[in-house]
Amino acid sequence: MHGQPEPNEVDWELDPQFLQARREMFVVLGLFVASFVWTMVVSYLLGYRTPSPEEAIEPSVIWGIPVWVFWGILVPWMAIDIVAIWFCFYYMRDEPPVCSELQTPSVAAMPPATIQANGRSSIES
Amino acid sequence: MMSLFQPSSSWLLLANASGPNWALWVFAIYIIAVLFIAWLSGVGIRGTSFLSEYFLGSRALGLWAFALTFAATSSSGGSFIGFPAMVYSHGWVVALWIGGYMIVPIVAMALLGKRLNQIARLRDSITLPDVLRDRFNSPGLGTLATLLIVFFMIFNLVAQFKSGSMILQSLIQDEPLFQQLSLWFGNQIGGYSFLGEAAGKPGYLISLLVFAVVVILYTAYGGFRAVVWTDVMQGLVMLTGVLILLPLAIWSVGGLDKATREMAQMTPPNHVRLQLSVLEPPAKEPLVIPHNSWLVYQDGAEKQVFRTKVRCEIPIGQSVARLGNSVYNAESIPAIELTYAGHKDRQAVTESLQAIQVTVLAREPYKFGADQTGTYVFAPGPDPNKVDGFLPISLAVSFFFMWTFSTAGQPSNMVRLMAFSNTQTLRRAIFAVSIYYSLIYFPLVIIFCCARVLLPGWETEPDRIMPEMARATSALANMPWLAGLLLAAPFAAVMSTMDSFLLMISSAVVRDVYQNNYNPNASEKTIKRITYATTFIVGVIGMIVAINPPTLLQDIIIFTGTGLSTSFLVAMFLMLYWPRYNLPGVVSAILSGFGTHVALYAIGTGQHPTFAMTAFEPFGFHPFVCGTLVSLVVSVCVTLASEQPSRDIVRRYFGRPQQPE
Repeated sequence: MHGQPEPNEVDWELDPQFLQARREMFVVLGLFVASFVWTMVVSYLLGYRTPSPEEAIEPSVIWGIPVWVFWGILVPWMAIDIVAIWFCFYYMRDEPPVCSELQTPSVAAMPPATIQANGRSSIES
Repeated sequence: MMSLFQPSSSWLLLANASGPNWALWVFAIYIIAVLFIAWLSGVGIRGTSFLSEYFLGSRALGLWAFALTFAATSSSGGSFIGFPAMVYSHGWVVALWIGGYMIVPIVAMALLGKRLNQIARLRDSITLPDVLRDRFNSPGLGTLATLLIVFFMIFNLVAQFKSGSMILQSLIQDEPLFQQLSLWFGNQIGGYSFLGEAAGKPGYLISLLVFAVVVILYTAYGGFRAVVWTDVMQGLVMLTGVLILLPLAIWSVGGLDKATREMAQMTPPNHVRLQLSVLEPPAKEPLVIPHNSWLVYQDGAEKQVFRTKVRCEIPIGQSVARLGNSVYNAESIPAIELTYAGHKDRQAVTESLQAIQVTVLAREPYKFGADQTGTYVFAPGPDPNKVDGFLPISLAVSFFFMWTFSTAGQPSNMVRLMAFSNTQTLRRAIFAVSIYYSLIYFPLVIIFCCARVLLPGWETEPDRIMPEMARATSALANMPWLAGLLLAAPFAAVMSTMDSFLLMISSAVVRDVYQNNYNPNASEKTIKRITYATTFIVGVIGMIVAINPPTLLQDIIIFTGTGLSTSFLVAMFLMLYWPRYNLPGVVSAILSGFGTHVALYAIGTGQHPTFAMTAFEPFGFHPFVCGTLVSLVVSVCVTLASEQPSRDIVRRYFGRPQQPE
């Protein structure tokens, strides 16, 4: 993404809230790729084959779930839920609410001092 | 145990089997609760800005409201009817088919959520076309988006009306009161030709009327807040249903371990055509063979077990069963034949049909998986029609991609992203929805793998497996009231999806057509009156079309659902994150995505004129995947080849905000 203003434009800079949101967006895409690759590779290697006659009758299972479903789908699914804890409670940042340009400042919920701290506020929880 | 495997003639015998009709009671309580919630929400509309309150709940959604409305809107009737049927028919591989849902909450909510919410607040945007119009300062773009949304959503609205009515009908069709009512209603409407074929289905019409009136009333009166809070209740009903059914299902089959091992030994049934005959023709009244009747043919040591797919009868004085008088090939009765010894051994013939003799006229084994043990446990899963199995790996890739990004690209989901109160709500909701989906989708796979072991032979009518499983497990557990609760889940799923569609269309009309293009200075009072009226009228139109719905409805749902995402996902994504993005870029993203999608469906339908609405899938990839890629490439190229966007706009949306004086 070409986000930087041209070097000679010094009259404005990119919003830190935007930059933070964009960083988070790349992390989201990264998580998608990771879960996608894991699920597809493991499922393909363990699940997409004709079972041998013994396997067909006595498939190996973990907790009653076929091994390929367990490692290919259930485990990444649980892993994503754990990553979601990190992403939602430790990585993603809170931002002060954006004020409408069409309203008077008095309507906005946050005092100006907080708005100044754009993108720098810490996690509340 | 044997009684479990007897056929039942309707969806909902469950409650009649033991005392009061629990299903009906649960349904009545449920409807009252929905209307009560809507009334509370309607009373709450007293805020300063009517439109923002009515269509966005004043952007004040808290954690549970936001999380559950998001989750419930995305799971429609398909999650509780079509999806269980799929697990039942194809086995464990369906876990991979739905696997994309592991990442759906994070992608669908976090990819666009924070930025979209910020940008919508910046200009007080209420609808998706609003956002696009303001971001590119182009009323024409807003109109284009509105047209696409209304075009696709109307189809979907009709489809949801239909499936909701069908669920309701199955829920109450065994009630004597309902039967009398539909008989009377059928006589009343017999003469009206405008009803067309529907005049012959008074039960469906009554269900449609009840369902539509409830949904239209609560949506029109309560607006977004009513939709959201009924979604919350509906989401909880779905979750409770699954969480109760899971342990019951595992317990009923004696442990999941045992179930999977038994599934491994199963081979898929054969589809057959049968001739059914008797030696002594019936003398007084025709012998009726209901659909889902079991027929057993013992030839020495070999036992053949069949189950009929349709109702047929042996007329008086004749000896061969017929489908009806005007049917082509009426003596060839479609059925399935069990091939798995474990199920054949414990299956008895339906009592009244012991005298019937069975001749197999034609036998069609599954194209993939016939005679293969292990096929229900390994990929790609058995399939009656496709030679490369149910889910070849290219299709698995497509679905993983499609679930994730088509959910992110749904306008009804994007609107919810504009409505949460603050980023803390967003963060917590992403986690809550992740857990919610984990508790719904994977358990559903387990439950209906158990159903495959417990209830053989539902390949005749797979869409009934959810109610049948609810009935069977609650009977085993001796808790008939449970079936009522379990059946409220699919109903809740349909309602929560269609109320948001209704509101989407209405907001597009009021805000984007009336207020922005026709009468920008309309007073609050006028707007209010027009909004209530529009929601009501759109709902009524949807209901009228649903009286005689198009037959290819299921295909149309898939076509419109993915069509919306293909048109909007790339445009929204680049609009939020790419300062260089400009008007030609966004228009080309929308048009090329939409065009590719429609073109692939047109080519596919042209190639297979018999299967209407089939998509052409280049290299086995779904039209959504192709359309999104085309949209991305075209949009980026067009943007780079055209002029920079105006500095003011870029600065307004991407620059550090100026501090208030």
